Amino acid sequence: MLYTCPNCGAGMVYDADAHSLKCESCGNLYESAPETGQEDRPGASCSNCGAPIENAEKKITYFCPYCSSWMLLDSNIVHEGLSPQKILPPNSGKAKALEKIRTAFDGIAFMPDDFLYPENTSGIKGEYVPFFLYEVEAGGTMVFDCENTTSWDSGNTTYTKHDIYRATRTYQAKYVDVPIDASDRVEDRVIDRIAPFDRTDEREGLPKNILPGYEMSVFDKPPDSEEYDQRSGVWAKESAEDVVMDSVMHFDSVKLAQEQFSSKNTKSTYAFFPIYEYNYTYGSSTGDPEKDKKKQYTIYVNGTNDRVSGRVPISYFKLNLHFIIEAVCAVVGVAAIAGILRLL
Amino acid sequence: MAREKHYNSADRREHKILLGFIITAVVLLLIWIALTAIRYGFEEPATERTNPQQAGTPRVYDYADMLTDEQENRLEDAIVSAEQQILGDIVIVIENESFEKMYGVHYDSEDESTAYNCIKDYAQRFWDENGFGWNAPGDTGNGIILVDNVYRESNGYVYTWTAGSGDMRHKVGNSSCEKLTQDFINRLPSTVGYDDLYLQYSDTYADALMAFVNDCASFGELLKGTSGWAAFSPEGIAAGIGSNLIFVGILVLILIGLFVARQFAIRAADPDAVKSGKKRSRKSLGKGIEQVVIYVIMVVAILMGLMTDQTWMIMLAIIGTGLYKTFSRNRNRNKPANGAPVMGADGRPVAGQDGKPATDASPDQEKPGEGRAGKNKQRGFSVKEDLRPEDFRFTVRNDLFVRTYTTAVTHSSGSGGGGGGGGGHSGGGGHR
Repeated sequence: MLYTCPNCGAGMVYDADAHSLKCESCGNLYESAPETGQEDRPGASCSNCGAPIENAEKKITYFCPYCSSWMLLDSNIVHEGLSPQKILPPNSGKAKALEKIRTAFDGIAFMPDDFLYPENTSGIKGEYVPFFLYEVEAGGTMVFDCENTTSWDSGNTTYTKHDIYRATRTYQAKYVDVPIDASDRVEDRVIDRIAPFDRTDEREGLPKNILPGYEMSVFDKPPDSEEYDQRSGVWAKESAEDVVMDSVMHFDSVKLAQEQFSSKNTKSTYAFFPIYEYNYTYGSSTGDPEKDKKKQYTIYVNGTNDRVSGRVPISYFKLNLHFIIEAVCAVVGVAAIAGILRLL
Repeated sequence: MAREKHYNSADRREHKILLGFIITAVVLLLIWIALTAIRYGFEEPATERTNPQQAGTPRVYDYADMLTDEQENRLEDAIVSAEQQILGDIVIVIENESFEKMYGVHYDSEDESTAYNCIKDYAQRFWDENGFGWNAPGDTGNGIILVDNVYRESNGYVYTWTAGSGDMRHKVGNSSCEKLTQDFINRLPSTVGYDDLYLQYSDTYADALMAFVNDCASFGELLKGTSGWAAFSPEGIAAGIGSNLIFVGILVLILIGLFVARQFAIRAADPDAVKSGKKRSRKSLGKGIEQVVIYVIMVVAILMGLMTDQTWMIMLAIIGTGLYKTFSRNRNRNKPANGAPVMGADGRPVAGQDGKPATDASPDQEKPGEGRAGKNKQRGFSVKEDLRPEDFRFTVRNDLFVRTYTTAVTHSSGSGGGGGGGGGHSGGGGHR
């Protein structure tokens, strides 16, 4: 399906700020996607210009760089027998995403001057990332060696009484909607940090009018994948441990002696959540791909709230210059104080 | 469209801090230059002796007749050379007289303050009344005087005193004078049980005095480098800072602080610098760093206090550390982690108004390594959120008492040391 403006025929994208489809040429807004009659061609070519689509079997939406059109590849919506059950539209656009980056990094000094230059930020892109929301049933046992101490003084001697305890906690827990991203392209560590998403505006199924302008690909592994099981289990374990640790905080010292944990994903929901991705390259290319890779910085922004994550570039030139000048000033200042005191 | 440079509030703060450093350094430098100009003018400092009194006169006053003429002459020659190096008079006075009787006091063997006050007074008055001093007579004139009274007083001790005058009272301060005296005494054998003039005409005694003169000369480079406009050279700045351990300590602490701030600034850009999920490990890490810093400050303060005889520094370090440990022990240990469910008496999470488990507080966005980058607590990287259980229950929750035991530690008491003098002369003494 091609997203073209019924007025001027130009491409349309979803404007998250206006909550509507917007023509990029005439600026008209449309609440729903107009049917163009052009369905996606089976195979891997653009519905508009016929140009080839790369990795066509994985994509649900696609932006053709030849004719600058967004299209929906309907045949990929159902993947391995699963249809998307939920989708969250972004509640703000790319401009707001850049503002979130600016705000999130307001407390980080010495970033390169051109970090948020327009020619760099124009490349920010939106994406719907496939997620599985799991219901997790977990249980375990933690045994602690605990101690309470009391001290008092008598004359020259300090007495310390040590009370030793063995604390046992066996628990069962249930977690719902544990979000595990099903895209291998986005780093798990990063996506875990920008979750959770604000699901106030969650929609059922896959409304087509909120898709253009955002890249969308199918999940890479099925929901019963061991990797997803493990990730949700780790997260549940961390949470359970925190709850259990709080229950032994009344001791002066606590040492974990034994731990058992098990978890099981009992239900999964196939969903798409919005993120923005800003790629920044620090400095010029060195010609060495490995070194150039280290100069790549990717910032991810949650499309529904203010959560931001990613490695931030630091200008070591600015950083070191600052501290060298301050060190020199410190030496001069201390020498001056020494000299003044000698003269007084 | 004009290019917008990326200056955020952290950059602006860094610029202000940098500006503060520069302005402070410039202001201090200008004050130092102004004071130097007032004291020394804009000409090179005179390397010639300008005090008309005691010009070309002897510097060794051997009233006890402990030296031969030849020993005395050699000592005089050495003093002439050493004086050129330190740009100060060097005077040696050897007495064989009871200062107890001279001052009409009684020396105590336990409390020697009277003894030291007497010999100190003698040294200062000898200097002032005879008008010694390289650049001016009296206590504004630069130089060093050694008084060695070989008379064994009623408390069984023989006393020696070294004093600095003029600029020397700063450059050769109390601890330096004490070191000069002690080094001189250590070069002499014990004369307990022997006649007061046991070392008369001995090479040992003459050599000890010669070594004292050489010790004074060794201050030469330091003293020249920190006098007048020479103090502004790189060597002078290094010598000026190095002349007192307190300045070295302050500079080292500032440089360490700058380095730590630099590391914090780098850390602020790394989302991995903040551990997600386990808030308890973050608390432990923060508490560990806090304890290390406190103990390092305590050790440095005690060392500096010992080296400079500043008892107050030692006491402040000990009292401060004690207060810190007292307050840190009493901190609230039962505060649950933010975002964790509030547990009821039955171990089930307490439901909030929306039916979901209630929490103590909404989870904060964590701050990466704070330092100078973490002033605004609402900004920064997101960290992995804690999962909140829909349902959580303890099926077993017991605290089994195992055993109890008591330890005892007995403390012994200690005492501190004493301080030094001041005014127009520095000084330090010893006895043998």
